[in-house]
Amino acid sequence: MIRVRSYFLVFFLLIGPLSWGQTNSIYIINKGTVRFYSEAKQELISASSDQIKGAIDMSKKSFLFKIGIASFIGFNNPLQREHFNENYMETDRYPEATYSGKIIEDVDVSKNGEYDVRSKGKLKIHGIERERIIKAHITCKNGMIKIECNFIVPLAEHDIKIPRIVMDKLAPDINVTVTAILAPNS
Amino acid sequence: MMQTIRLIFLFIICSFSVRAQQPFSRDYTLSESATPTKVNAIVQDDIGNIWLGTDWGLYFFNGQVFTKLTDTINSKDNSHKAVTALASAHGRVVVGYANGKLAEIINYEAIELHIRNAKPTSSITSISLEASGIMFVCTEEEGIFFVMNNIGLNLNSSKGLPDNFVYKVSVLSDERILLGSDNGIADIEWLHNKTNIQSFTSAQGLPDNIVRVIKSIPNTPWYWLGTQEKGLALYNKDSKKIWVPEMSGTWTWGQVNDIVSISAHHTIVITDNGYLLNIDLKDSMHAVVKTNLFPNKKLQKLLLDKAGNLWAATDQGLTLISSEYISYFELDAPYALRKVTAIACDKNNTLWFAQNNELYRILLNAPDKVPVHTYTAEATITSLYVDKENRLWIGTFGKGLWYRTGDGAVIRAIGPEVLKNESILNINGTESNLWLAGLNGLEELSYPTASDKQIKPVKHHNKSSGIGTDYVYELYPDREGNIWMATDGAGVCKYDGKNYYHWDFFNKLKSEVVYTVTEDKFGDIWLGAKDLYRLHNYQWENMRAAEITGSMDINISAVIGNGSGQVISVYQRSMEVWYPKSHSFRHFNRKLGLGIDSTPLVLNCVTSDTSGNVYVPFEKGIIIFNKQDSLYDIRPSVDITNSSVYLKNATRQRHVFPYDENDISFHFKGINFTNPDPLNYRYMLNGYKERWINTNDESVTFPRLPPGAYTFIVQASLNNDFVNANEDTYTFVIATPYWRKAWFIAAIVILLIGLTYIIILQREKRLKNMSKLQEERMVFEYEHLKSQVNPHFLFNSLNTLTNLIEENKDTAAEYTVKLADLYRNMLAYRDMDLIFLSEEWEILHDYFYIQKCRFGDALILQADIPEKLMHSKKVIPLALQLLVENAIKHNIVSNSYPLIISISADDDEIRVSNPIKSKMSKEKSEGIGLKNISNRYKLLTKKRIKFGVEGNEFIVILPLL
Repeated sequence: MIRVRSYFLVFFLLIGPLSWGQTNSIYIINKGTVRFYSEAKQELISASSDQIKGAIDMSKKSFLFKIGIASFIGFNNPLQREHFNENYMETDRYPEATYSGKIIEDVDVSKNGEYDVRSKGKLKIHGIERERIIKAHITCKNGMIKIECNFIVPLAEHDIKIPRIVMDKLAPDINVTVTAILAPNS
Repeated sequence: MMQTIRLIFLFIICSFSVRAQQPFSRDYTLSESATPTKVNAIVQDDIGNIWLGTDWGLYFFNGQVFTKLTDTINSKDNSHKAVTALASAHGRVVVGYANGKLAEIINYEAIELHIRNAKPTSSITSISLEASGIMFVCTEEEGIFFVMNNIGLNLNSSKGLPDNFVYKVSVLSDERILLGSDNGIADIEWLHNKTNIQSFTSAQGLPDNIVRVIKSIPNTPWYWLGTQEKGLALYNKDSKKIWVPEMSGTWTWGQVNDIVSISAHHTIVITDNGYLLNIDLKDSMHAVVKTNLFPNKKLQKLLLDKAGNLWAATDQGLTLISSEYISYFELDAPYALRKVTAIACDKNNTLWFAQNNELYRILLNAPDKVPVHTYTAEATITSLYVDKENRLWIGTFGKGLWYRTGDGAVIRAIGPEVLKNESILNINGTESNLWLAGLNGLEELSYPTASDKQIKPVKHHNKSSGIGTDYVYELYPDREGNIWMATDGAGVCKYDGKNYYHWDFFNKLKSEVVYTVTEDKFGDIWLGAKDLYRLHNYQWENMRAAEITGSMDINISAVIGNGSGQVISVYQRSMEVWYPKSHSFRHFNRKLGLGIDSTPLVLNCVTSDTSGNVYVPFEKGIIIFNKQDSLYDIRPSVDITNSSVYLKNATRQRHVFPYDENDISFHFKGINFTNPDPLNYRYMLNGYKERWINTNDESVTFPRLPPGAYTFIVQASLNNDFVNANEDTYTFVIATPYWRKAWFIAAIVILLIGLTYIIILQREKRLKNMSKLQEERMVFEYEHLKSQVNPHFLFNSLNTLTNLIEENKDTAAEYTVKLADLYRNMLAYRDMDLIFLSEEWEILHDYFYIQKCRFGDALILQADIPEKLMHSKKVIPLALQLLVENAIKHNIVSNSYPLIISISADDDEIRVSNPIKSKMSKEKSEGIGLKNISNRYKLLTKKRIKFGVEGNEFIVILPLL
């Protein structure tokens, strides 16, 4: 039920604006990177993906971002990536991470400028949805929007279990950095 | 250069020794395995249970154990067990879940509320219960719901709400609410059936658009607004203005998660970053913030319970915070508890304390409590006292009396010679005089003045003057001007300026030592001897008599009253506070788990500041027993959780038990957030034994209760003193069995009376019948005998006999025998009520034989009586004979007109008939033959005889019996 509902959400938020949105208040990600790193006692793990997709409706101040978990690359070794997908993220069952919600502060896209805003919404990783407030830095320049933000994902909050044996190699809180450039949907 | 370095060094020292006042705290985990459980919501119900909502369901806490409620609502889907909101008010506890469901706790069970019309489907953020029965439900995605009688109405952004994510609602009046959302606050008013929504965002001065908490400030039109990022703001509901009072700089403590408003001035705020902020709102524009950090914790929700405990729901469990009644500040070396010998507080709220020869001071109003060394005495400082002119008097051991003047100089008191080398035990003073307790008794002295530094002796008090001893541990001038003395050797002594008063009740204790004496806010005198006594209404009472003294330490060292009427007593290993309204002590000892395990070693080493807070040194620093804005109720409560019949659970709703279910047990639970010791209970079953029974068990069984109405009452107490104790009652009825109910007994009685009446009636009727029958029979017999000795019959019979003798001797003999038989049978049967048909037939047969002999063929009897009836049916005796006789009597019997008498019978009746051929001259008839038969039948049976003329025949029908 939940899954069906969230797919609907994805459908309406993504496909909907893309196909029917005729106003230029909708911005779509042109280019973006999601990068995470885990800083544990014994090992520093980081990986990134540029497969982030998403859109912001500036008139409604709502947004949706999603990323395929399998697209993360840059692990310390191939086995680590395999563990990441198979053991921790269960990518087969939960192929995507999504973040959808609204922007609290007002942003005037029509002018060049920079804003520190809060986004508030549901962060869904590993099938578990969490209500989050994530701060972002928005730069508006020549009708384009650049978003930069970083936040922490506590693994426990998303029911991602770490075996005791890798406690020293994997941090319980993962740092995530997102950068994206969005352009109006024309 | 050197100075700069020194300054830097000092600065470093200072910054390391930042010592702020902080509460004691204790962490609880909800599960026995001590794994952290995030608590989303916390409330206290009307009985006192604390309810906790977690991602894994609902718990309740009675001060001892956490009990998880079995979830019956969301049993199918684990992910939806998460409790996100709780509300308790007006006797109800309502639960909100992450899936939008709502439930009400009834008798420790969550019963789902089935909302009709509009109902929430997204996570519930908060619930507000109103006295009117309206429930406001705030949700994450659907705005706010108004629920009344389980009918829901929804208000969301499509109807004008600023945002669908609503955190909190506060009811401003009957028709007005204020809610906080992700897009500011909304002031909603219903006017003439119109919803008027007024939104306030950053454009209207709101510091942050995410308003997570709204809390009314008592006795003001103001509301605290707690935001996500920018801290607090105030909203005035009358002027609809928002402003931010000036606080200590910018907000750096994180997202506001909850607010508890204690009074118009005092507010407590908790944040996501682990801060507990005590906010003192000086006026609308200024507030002072005191911060306490609980590192590595997110403080989610805050509850102030009835006993004054603050309970913070955290991401790891529950944290008890004591700041409403006790707090402390830490002191670093050179502070050491074992060296503290005296303590006092002056009029400027400077706390003075002595460690042997050294005197230190701490500015209590400063945020950081750093002791400053002030003076070194020539000998150990044994006593400190601040007089009305704010001079600090210093008593030493063997080096006499000193005092510190307003300009900071410490000078030796100039006065009587005896002061010089006196060892001073205690100093106190009245308006006019200074009192000094030393090893040589008491000195009553005059104060030095600006012009005259000389101290003059007023009076010397000692053993012989009337105290009864030379040693006084503590002097206390009460509000009436009496001096109270705690003495070693003479108990407590009161001096009213003329006389000394003693009380001899100490004889009972076999101790004449009193260590400490004080007066509380109500004017009662308290003293610490081997126990704690209070002089109340001219009576000394042992205040600890009700406590379980065996397990407690009795070495009392100080007793002192605070500004809220409480009395603090200090023992060797524990401390306790008397709550006058609750009539109980709150204990502070190691068992409490707060880390209070040390007390001063010296007698009377306590003091209080100008506002009535009490200071007691302990191992880490100084404990503060706060004067409280309101006196909390520390009494434990008790809840009868269920009853059981023959050990089988019955619910609390059951109040009537059948007569055979009379083995009833009650289970109750104490709710106590005050003392760590087990509670004492007492119970009584009204209607059974009207007598209190004390117990420590939490259940009681009453076997074989007789039918009746009962009320079970149980009370709980921290000690064995049940004055003002909280109680719970359970009224129930054991039904009377039907055979003992009034209606049943009445029915039985009526039935019996009726039966007896009927029996008597029947009997009477029968007796009457019998006597009548007797009478009838006598008449009959008389008539019959008369008829049988009828000369006609006899004459005819004898004539016949004469003829027979001539004709046939044998027949004559037989005739005679038959005649004799006839008379014998007549005599034999005449007094019987009924005879068999066969017997009657025999009589008839004999009679007919005699008549046949007379009439010959002129008389014919046609009988048709089935043989089986002969011995089964009865008739009245001589009935048939009489009928035949009648027939002969009334009809012509001749050869030309023979008389044919027919007798036939069936099961019910016998019929006698003959054709009518009436005689011309009738024999004289009494006419009573048939009438008599008829009467006799009437008396015996309901069946009646019938007779009459049918055609040419006279017919008589007799019933067969």
